[in-house]
Amino acid sequence: MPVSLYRKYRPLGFDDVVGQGHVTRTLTNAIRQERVSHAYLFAGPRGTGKTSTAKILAMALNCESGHGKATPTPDGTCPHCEAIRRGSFMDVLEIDAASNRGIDEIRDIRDRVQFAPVEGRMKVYIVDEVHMLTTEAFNALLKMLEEPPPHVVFVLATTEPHKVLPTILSRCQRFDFRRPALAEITSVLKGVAATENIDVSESTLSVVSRAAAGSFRDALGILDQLSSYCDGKISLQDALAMLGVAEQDLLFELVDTVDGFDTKGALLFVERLVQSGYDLNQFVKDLLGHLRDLYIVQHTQDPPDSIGTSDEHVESLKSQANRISPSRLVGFVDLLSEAQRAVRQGGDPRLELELVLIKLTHPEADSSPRALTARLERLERTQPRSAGGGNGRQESRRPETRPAEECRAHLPEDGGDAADAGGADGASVPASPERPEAAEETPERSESGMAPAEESHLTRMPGLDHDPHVEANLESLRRAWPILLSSVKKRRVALHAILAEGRPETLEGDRLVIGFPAGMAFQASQLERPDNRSFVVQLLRELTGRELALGTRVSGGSAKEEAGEEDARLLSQEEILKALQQEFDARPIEEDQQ
Amino acid sequence: MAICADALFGELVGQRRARAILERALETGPSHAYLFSGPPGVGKTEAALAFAAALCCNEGGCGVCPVCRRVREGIHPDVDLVSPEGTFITVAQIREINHDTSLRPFESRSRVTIITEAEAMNTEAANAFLKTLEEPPPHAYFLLVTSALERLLPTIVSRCQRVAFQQAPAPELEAYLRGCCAVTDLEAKSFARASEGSPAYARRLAESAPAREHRAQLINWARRVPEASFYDLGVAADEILASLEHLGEERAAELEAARERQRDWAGDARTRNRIEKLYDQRIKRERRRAQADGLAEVLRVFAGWYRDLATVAVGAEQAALNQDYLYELRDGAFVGMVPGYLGAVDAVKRAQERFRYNVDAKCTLEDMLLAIKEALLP
Amino acid sequence: MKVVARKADLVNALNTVNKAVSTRSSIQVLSGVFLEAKAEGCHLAATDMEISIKAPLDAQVEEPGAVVLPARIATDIARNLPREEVVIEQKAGESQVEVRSGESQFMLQSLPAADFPQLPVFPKESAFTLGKKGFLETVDRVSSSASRDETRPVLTGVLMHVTKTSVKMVATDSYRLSVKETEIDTGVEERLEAIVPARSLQELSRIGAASDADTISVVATDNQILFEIGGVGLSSRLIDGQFPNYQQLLPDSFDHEVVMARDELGDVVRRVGLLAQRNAPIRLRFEEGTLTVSAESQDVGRAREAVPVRYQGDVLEIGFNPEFLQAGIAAVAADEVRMKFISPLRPALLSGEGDDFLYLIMPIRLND
Repeated sequence: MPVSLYRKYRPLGFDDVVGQGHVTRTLTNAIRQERVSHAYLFAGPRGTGKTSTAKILAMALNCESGHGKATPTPDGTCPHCEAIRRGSFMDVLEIDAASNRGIDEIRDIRDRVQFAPVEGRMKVYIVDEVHMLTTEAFNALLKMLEEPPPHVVFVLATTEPHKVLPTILSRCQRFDFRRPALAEITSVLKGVAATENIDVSESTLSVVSRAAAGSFRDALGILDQLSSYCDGKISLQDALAMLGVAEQDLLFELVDTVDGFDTKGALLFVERLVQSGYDLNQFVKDLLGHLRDLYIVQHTQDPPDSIGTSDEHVESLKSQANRISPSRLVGFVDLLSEAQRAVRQGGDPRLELELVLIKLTHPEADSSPRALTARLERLERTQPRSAGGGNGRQESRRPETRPAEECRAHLPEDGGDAADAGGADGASVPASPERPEAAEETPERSESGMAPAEESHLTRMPGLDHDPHVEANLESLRRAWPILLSSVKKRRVALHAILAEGRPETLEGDRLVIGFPAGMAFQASQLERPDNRSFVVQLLRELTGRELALGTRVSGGSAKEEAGEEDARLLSQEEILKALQQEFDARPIEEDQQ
Repeated sequence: MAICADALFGELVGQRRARAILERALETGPSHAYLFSGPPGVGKTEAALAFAAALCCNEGGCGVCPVCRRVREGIHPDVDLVSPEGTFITVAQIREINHDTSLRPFESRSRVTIITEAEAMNTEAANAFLKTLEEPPPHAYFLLVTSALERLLPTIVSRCQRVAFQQAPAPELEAYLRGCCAVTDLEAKSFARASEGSPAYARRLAESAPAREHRAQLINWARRVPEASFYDLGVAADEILASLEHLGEERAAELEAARERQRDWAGDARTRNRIEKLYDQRIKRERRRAQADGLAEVLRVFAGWYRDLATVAVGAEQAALNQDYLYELRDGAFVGMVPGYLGAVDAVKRAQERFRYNVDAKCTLEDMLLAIKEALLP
Repeated sequence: MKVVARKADLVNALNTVNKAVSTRSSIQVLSGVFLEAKAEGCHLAATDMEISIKAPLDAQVEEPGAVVLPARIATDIARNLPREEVVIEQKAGESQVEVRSGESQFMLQSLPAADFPQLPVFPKESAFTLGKKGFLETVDRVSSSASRDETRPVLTGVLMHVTKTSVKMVATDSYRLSVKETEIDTGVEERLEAIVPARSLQELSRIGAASDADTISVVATDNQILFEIGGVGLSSRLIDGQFPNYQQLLPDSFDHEVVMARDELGDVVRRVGLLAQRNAPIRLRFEEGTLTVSAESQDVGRAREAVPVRYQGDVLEIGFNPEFLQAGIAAVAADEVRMKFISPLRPALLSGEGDDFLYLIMPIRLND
């Protein structure tokens, strides 16, 4: 079996290295001016060319065509270059710091460093994942970097530069390797495909590039596998099938099913998927990508090129994006990302996916604050009182569109970040920066007093664990009180009984006082207990995003006042109850009249 | 060189794409590093051994010659089956692999290293492996097998070609069961689904009455939780744990016998000690694994039951896992209880997490049962 | 299978192959010894998957067959047999093997011969022979320069380069390199290159020392190499890879040449080297008529010794790793050692008169 494509097409010279122009230019200049540093630090994500560039540098320093001097254009074919490429050149040593991280190994190098180069001009030590050295090893390395022998060059490579001792960093010339853009990967693939006589379209190649998540090695590996699987002629279908990329129709279908609150349909969908042999992990990954595309389409006039594989596809995305509400979309992404995390820690992919779908389509099933607010949202829409000018816009209004580039700048590449040990999977919905205009755009706070959930979604990074939806003002807290109570009831029955007697009375700064009617001193004191108090504070934090202090007050005031206020409370509760019945076909349960 | 695909991969159930990839690879010239990933119990290791046999076989992959036989039995000198010694695959093991790889094969034209539970490589080990994996000598092949792809170092994953294994689709699993075991059609259907696509598990259900009974017991417990008293639940937790005790004993006994045999054959004290240690670790590991698998099965059945209730409650019967309990499911499923069913599943998930952190089993199970009960309160 | 043998022969053969019995593998059959009885003769074999040793067993074959016996137990039994004659028999269809001698009877559990690794078939026509003594001496001298560092496996072996008329053996750890060329009577038609693990050659030395035979025959396939001495065969897997081209490493010309009495130089270097601790270099300073050898270890002390030498030209000061230098001097098989230098940063060459042996040694940079 021939050598893998990745090895075959490893860059041989500085010009062959794609996407790191800043690095190669500086290096070639340094070589030309005979100002090669003794220590370099190559930092950047995996698969971006650090080791390849280090080897090219080693060749440049030792190539015979340089006739005793370093050359910026090593020929790659002289015996020295050949040996370096093969890894058998005596004076170029590749050390992997993750498995040779101790002081002994570094001392070993220190001893060897004294020896003059055997065959070449310069000894080159390439230390990979250098951040993994133990502290002692680092210090030993430091000594070498402080007094470098003239015939030695160190190239330290790492995916985590922040873990490298600052004293080492300061002695190296640092180069940051960046993740290549989709287009760059695609163009490399194109070149390789042409040379290898692989029949493949550019759109298929961009599917491969996407799957490669910013790594040339991955991209070439996938191309390799595809090419052998398809015997030299790769169709888009083949690529999608081999990569397990779910057919687009399926993705659209599921999103519509979820949007339609069709739990049964969603579960049957998963059943179909599983019985057809689909890889659920891959499907979830694709689904997240699809949702991300929808989100982008929702927020931009002009979606960037990386969205959608064809014009029809983009049209379908647009139309689906119009149908589904942004907050629901974000909720979907949140739940799905969490499910992915759960799977990573050992959860069952099918179960996790199904739980997400049930929570999204069977509203009461999700008791998180976000869902509570979503339900409230729907309630609000149906309540005649608050149908004032503001809320109608929630359905059809689209957030102010922003130029595509700005949006794109916030999108993480599919790769996620290197720091994420679990590796890249699926895109998280991108962060929109704070948008002060959002506050202005909100029309006069309607009597609902609630910041529309949408807005808060846009002004904060979705995917945050705590999505505050309730404004921390007294009016909103009062409105939200029944919801809070129902949430407490689910988790702490006894506490609920206590809280149900009180209601938010005053809010001073960050201090919320819960008022209890006369005669309820016991209940008030129960709420003051540390565990109860902290539970409620936590809940309030989840709802409002604010850290509120809790206080209690037992009323000694006139019964009349209280009665009036009581009425008000009852009124809204009743209305909510009615709405609940209407909306969710809920059956009234005797003991809890909220 | 002709490969006999059926002789090699005939035992694989429902892995159409994986099989196609492997067969194709053997025909066109295999790559040097593969990663077999997918749920446990679907045949990854068997496929790896079969693939290795094809790489060593003089006929190119006949599946039946002495070479193929020895490979598949794990006793061929050129096929190394590596698994964790203890919790991890250590850097020492990797160094041995690297060393062995640097030598030409003993008998055949290939040297194949199969690493099972590849996710158990600790960081040091994984990094020591990278270079070998990336630029192996022409005779060397690496087959990594894992059920936990997410835990593998991305740098390792990117150096391998992925072969993804799936849950075996129910119809194929059914057919397989009907072919290999004496089961009724309904049983085949039920076991195929209840096993969630694992031929190993399905087969066990089909062939072992104790396994079937165990499952029935677990479902029974799951059903009784809502009406059970707190006391009952405590007892149930005890009983569940007791039912797991015998697991792994059979396998442990097998290993112990093998250890005895090998120890007796060993040449000197040092080798004897080495073998003792190796087997001790393996036996401990098997026991631990059997326990963990047992607990996982408990959780799976419980979670599956409540999930089934929700599934049936919303009208999606065909998607239920426990098809042989549809009657009981229909009886007990209410659409209004769906949040409760999800709460019950959540309780199981929380227990799963606690088990992962080795929290006391009895305590965790009790809490889980209580939490399920609470969730299912009307 | 049934064979009749003499106790002494059996013990001998078992002892010979025991070195190759695996001590680390968890494959049971590798802890065993393979016994094969054919019409033409009988032999034992063992392998640890890196090296294999095959020894002939002079025995009467009453019924051909093959079986794998537990190595250690079989050896212990053999040593303790009461009589000279021993019968080893495995009845058809049974897995047990009977070993009996006189009144003593042992029944051993065996493993099927089919489970044992297949030793490679070597094309005997391509074998070449050399004098055993010379070959083994060469092996000893050269293989000590091999590396012990596993991160570069190729250097842990000894390169054997065989042509029609000569055998060249090369070993290096990238700090020093030994190469010895030996003439042979019957070489190979096609050039053969094999990298043999140093450890296997050590084992070969031991076998050679224990044998009376005069010659050694060598043959190789792509994967393994077989050495046969007096009927006993040691085969070893070869190291894969490209050995450095030593000829490229040998400088074309040298600027300085010095000849000295080997023993004398060796003594001086050894003495002075006592003070070259923890990787401190040993320093050789050549000036008109005198060589000064010195060494210094921080916190320990210094050593210095001057020796008269026939040297002309500019002062040359060069440092070496003391151990490597000593090894090189010791490896020269002549009364006088010839040293060639170029400069303090280029390798130096040691050789002896009438001995096709070269020792290239890398200098250590001296910090002045």
